Parts: sequence; C-alpha cells; structure tokens
Amino acid sequence: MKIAISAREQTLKSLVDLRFGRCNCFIVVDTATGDYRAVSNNQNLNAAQGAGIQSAEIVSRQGVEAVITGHCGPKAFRTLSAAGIKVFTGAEGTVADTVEKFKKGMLTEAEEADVEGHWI
Amino acid sequence: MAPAKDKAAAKDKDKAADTVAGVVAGESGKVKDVAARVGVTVSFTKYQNGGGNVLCRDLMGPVHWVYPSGGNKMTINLTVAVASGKGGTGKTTVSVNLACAAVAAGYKAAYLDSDVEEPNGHLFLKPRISRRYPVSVPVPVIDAEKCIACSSCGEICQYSAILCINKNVLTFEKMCHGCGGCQLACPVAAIAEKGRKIGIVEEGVAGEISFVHGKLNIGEAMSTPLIKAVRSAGPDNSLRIVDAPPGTSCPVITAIKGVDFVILVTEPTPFGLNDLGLALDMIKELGIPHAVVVNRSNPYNSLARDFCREREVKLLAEIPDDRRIAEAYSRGELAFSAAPAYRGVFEDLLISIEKEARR
Repeated sequence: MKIAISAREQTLKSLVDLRFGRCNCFIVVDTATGDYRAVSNNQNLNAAQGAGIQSAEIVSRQGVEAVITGHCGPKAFRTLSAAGIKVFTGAEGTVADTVEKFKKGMLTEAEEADVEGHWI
Repeated sequence: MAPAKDKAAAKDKDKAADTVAGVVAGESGKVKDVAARVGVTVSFTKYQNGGGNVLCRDLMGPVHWVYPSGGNKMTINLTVAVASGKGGTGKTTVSVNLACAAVAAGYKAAYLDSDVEEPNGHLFLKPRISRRYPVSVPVPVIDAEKCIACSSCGEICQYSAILCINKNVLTFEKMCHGCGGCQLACPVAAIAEKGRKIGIVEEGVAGEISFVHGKLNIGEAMSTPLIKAVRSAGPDNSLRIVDAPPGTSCPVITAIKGVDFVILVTEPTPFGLNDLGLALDMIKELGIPHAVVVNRSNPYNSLARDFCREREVKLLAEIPDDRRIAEAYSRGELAFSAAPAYRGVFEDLLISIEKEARR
C-alpha cells in the first residue's frame, strides 16, 4: 500500500510537517517493500491560495491510498476524499516512526477536516 | 474685519460662521445681516470658477469657504481616488471632507466608498440609502451527465477553483475569479454559470452628496467585482471621489484604475512613508497623475516633506495633527463641520486637485 506523509525534509528521519497544503515535501512510502521517495511540494509553499487543493492533486497523482499529516483543512479534505484517499491527521514525530505507527494500525482515520483553511 | 474684543464676541463669531455655513443658495443678504448683528464684516467676491457662486471670506480670518448662490450645481466630470499604502492614514477623512468642500463650492459631488471590506464613510456622511442591490460573481456549474472527466477545466484554472480528480469534477466557488476560462476550455459544453453573491452596493444621498458604498460579505475574499460595481455606480458629470482600500494589491488597483487623479494620503512616520513609497511605485506603473496629502502633520516633523522632495512628488496639502480633528473623527463628525477652522485646508485641496487634474 502506498502512503504519503507530509514532511519537513526529504528523508525518513525528517519530522512530519504538521501542515498538509504547505508542507515542504511528501514522502511516498510503499508499506509492503519499505521503498520510499520524496516528492517536492515547492510550488505550493508560497501559493496565495489553493495550496491544499493542489497538494491533494500532487499526492493523488502519486497513486497513494492514504495521506498522513498533522492537520488537514476543508478544501484539501474534500479533494482527497474525492480522489478516494484516506486521511490520517494528528501525526507527529519522525516520518519513519509515523510509518511504523500506521502499519500497526495506531493512527485513526479522519472523518472530516480538523482545522479551518489557512489555520497557521 | 472687526477685531474680536472679548470671548463673547468670539463666540458670536463662531455662531455667525455656523449660520453662514447653513445659509442656502442665494441668501448672501441674510449672511450680511447675521454678520452685521454680531459685529463682523463679510465681503463677497465672485468665485473664479463658478459662474453664480460667491466666495465668503474674512469671517474667520484666514478661513474661507464657498457656497452656491444659485440652486443649480456646477457640473464637472472628474474622478479622484483617495488611496494610501498604509491603512489608517486618513483616506476617509480626506474623502468625506473633500466631498463636503466640493458641494460647498457648488459642485455636484459623489462619494464612492470602495473600501468594501470595511467601508466607514457612512459613519461621517450618514447617508439616506435609497437603493440596495446584490453583486455576484459567475461560478461554474457542472452538468455531470455531459462531463467526460477530461481535466481540461482544471488545467486552465489558475486559482484551483475547479479540478478533475478521480473522474470527479470538484468546484471551489470561493476560489473562483469568474473568468469563464473553464467554460471555454470544456470540449463538451458541460459547464454553465450561476451567480454567487459576494456583497451588496448601497446608494443614497448625504445632504447634497451622492453616496455609494459596497459591503463585502463577511469571510469573503473576492472583493474586486464589488469594487467595480461601486466604481460604476453614482452620477456622471460630478466630482466623483473614490475612497480606496489601503495597500498596493488588486483591490486598490481596481479602485483607482482609470481615475483622473489620485491623492495619496500619508502620515509623517517611517511606517507611513515606507508604504507611501510602495504606493508611489504602484501608481507609476499605472501611470495616473497623483500627488500626496500629509495627515497628522506637524510643522516640526519634515519627514514627509523631505520624502516628497526626494521622490519628486507634489505635496498638495497638510492636515494638521490637531486634537479637534481627532475628537470630531471619534464622534463620527466631519472635520468640515466640527472643526471649521480647517475648512480652508479642504477647499484649497479641492482647488489644487482641479488644477492638477486639468493639466
């Protein structure tokens, strides 16, 4: 299963970026093989608007089935849902730890956006 | 002018001034009667620009004002925007008092508050609203039957307002600028438009001033269509004063584009002048004739004067940092009525604007 985690840097040791739309990059991990690669989110870092929507489009293009992040706003959530991607909010710590928690089923799936847009 | 002998006489003089201000068209005789009763001399001279207008001077020393002697207002076709980089520098103060000065000078005047996010001119002009109408922006509506999920709409949209994901077309109405691009790009004509209300325009009168303002809905980010609606309202053939929003981005550009002249209001502080500099850069791009008015000015602070000299921009007027003006403002009163000593500032400003705009 392919998952995407919002991250501050492009490695597994990086901390999870609490922001979804304006995270530095996404680490796309194949939970079966442990393979991973970083996908830049540079184009949305300084976007005036629509960062969440565009970020959702980026991860959707990676063919992931779930997104793990700190917080997710309403537009990003709606886009991810339309793309059929599960959203897990409330992640913290390193990307590697988060992947482990996800595999063990320790993360709970979000049913709705947990913050307003432009929450930070 | 007869010198004031004591405080009582001075008080009477103020009273006379108020009376004169209240005198309507064609009653210069009454003005003289009132003035004679309180022991001051009033002289009338023809106002240079206004066929049937008299200029009333000498009643309050250096202060003078003009009022119409005929019922017909002079027509003028001039749109002046009052803008600033920094917020809170005095755009509304200048705009509303300028509108009063214009009416007092016999012009047809209109005040258009295009600061639609927080319009406040009505607090001072207290207009009677006679017309109210909503303003909408067009947003896309998808016909799911016709849609072939080709993504063309999402690819053309610059604002992420529409996108095709997983064979679903999503629209985000609040992001939509209403350009109609998606409709043009759709190969199967599956996109129609509907209106999304963003705010209202209210029109009315405040005394003899035509009044227009826009009120943007709370939480709404799309202000420019409403600003355009405000700009296109109000009478032609008048001195149209556009009270612009602060800043240097889309809302202010929409408010000032195509006007004949822009007044940039600043305060003589480093913050005020920094933002004035940004506003000057913006206005040069737009190529609109402009000049500066300094508010809360103080003779010992030459920051703004030096700045204008350096940037080679004309300084049209300085409004003194006087507590009376601030107090009038805090009560929602016009400096033009509450602090008559400063009428001259706005009248002179009006005359300067006419001259500058007609160059």
